[in-house]
Amino acid sequence: MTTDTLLETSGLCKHFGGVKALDQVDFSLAKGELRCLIGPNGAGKSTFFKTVTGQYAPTSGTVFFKGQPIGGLETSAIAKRGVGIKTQVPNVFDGLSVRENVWVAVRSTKDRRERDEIVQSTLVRMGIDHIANVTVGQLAHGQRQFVELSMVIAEDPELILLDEPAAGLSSEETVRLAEIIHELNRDHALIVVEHDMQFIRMIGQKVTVFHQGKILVEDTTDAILSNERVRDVYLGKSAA
Amino acid sequence: MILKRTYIELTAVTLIALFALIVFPKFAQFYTIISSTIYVSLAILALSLAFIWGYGGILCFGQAAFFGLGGYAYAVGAWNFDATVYGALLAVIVPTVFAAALGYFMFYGRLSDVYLGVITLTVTLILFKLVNSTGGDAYAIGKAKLGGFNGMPGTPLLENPLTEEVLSPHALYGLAVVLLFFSYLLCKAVLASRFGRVVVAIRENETRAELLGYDARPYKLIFFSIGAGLAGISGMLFANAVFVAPTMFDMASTARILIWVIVGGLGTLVGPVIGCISLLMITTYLGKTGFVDPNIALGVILIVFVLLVPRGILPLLDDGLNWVLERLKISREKSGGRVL
Ligand SMILES: Nc1ncnc2c1ncn2[C@@H]1O[C@H](COP(=O)(O)OP(=O)(O)OP(=O)(O)O)[C@@H](O)[C@H]1O
Ligand SMILES: [Mg+2]
Repeated sequence: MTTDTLLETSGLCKHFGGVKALDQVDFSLAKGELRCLIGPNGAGKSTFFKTVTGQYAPTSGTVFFKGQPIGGLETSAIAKRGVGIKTQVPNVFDGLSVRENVWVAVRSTKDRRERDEIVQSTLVRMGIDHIANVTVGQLAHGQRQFVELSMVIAEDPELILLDEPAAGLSSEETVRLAEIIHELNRDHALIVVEHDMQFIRMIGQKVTVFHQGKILVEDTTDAILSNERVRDVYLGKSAA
Repeated sequence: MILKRTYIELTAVTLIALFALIVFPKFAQFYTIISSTIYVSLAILALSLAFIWGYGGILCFGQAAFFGLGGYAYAVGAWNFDATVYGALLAVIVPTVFAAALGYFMFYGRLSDVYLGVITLTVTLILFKLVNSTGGDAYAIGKAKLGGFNGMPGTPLLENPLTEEVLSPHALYGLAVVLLFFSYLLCKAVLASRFGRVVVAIRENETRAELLGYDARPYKLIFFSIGAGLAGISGMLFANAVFVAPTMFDMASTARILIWVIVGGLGTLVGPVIGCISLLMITTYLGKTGFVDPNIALGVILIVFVLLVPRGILPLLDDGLNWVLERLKISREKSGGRVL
């Protein structure tokens, strides 16, 4: 592991009974890198995220973040070290307002004024300040996605994990999301799970393909899109 | 908007507290003052569950246990210490520490809500059995005989620590009102703090809170313990207004706290206080007239509320008020008047 490595897993396994959701995953992400994660349904992408964030304890194998082992730590402890996630199923505080949701996410400062400023600027940046006082439970799916994304941004973690952030977004919102991801990538490392190939193209960069709990191949977007094996397991049915 | 509501609520509560403290005793009969003291004491108990269940999402069947522990801790302290005020301190400390220990196992063991309910109920009933079986001289803590199912009548009452005079019924009533008011303010202050807002967020979505770096366990533990301390204050006042007995821990005692909160309105602080006092008035009245069994009446009221007014009294009043305000607004708009 070099000093440039932010996240590294080796021999990472997560089994559910007989199901090997993760099977010997050796994964490495450099500081400041933007990586796309693709793979068919059930390939283990979400399980990979959940194991990195501590929602699942690994069955075996190790997870290193900034050179420190984090496998099996409490979820909150891993988050405190600088891992933030937008989960596949939106995880928001439904009973609280948009502003309160983002407010809770700011942990970097104890100062009231500073905190309010971060909240406000995040709301404006994400274009949701006009619904700041709306209860999140009343919002449409796409808006909830943006609220959750705003929380992750306000949290400002070193590594941002996004699990299918474009799901349920309109095409304008998707374009906006791609912009935001590029903006975030200026000072954050990101891993983005996505099904939509158009979206992957917009993000560009390096792509890791998961298949049956294993890493099938890792390459640039263009190379992946023309890769025969990838086509067979995945693109064959869904890509244009 | 939210701020404005908070101010309205605080002003209303302060005015009611002042009324209860200054005006009410002037015309109330002696007997009324005594029963009001009991109602106000128990209202703190209702408040304690409204706090941890309504805001922390912790459905605890153990508030009666903390209430009873507070009462007994007071009684034991009052018998043994020179100044009864130390008993009052014990009444807060013992339930808080007990809840912290119990909560440690529950929250750090990450028990699900159902198990939490079962465990708190079981602990309450065990305490009931335990205290109930302390009849006879063998069961004493220092000078305090626990008295089994007879409880501990004749426990020394609270004194004014400055004059060392025993509080008069009027003074005790005043103290109860003041403690209810400050307990309410404490709850409000905790909920307005960063800590309180995180607790509410954890109730909303514990996974999300943990993914943001908040360890839910200590938050819940502290919140739960504060609720137990409030129940202890209630028990201490009850010990002075009536006397402590094992029934403080029994099933009926446990159930009625839940009913007060449900009827008053879960998710509010004022609602359960209103629910508690009005239901106590109703059951006392029914008990006196012997017309219907108060417990049956309480059960029927609970069912009616769960089925017809599931959000409770206060949200209902709130909706009614909003409805009236809306009407006023519309009629003003129609007549071309200025809109608020
Ligand atoms: N909590 C769980 N219990 C049992 N099996 C699980 C659990 N979570 C995931 N699995 C299984 O692990 C495998 C990988 O699931 P995972 O959700 O990680 O896939 P994914 O790549 O995110 O798929 P999708 O694209 O549909 O989101 C699947 O076979 C799934 O059924
Ligand atoms: Mg998934």
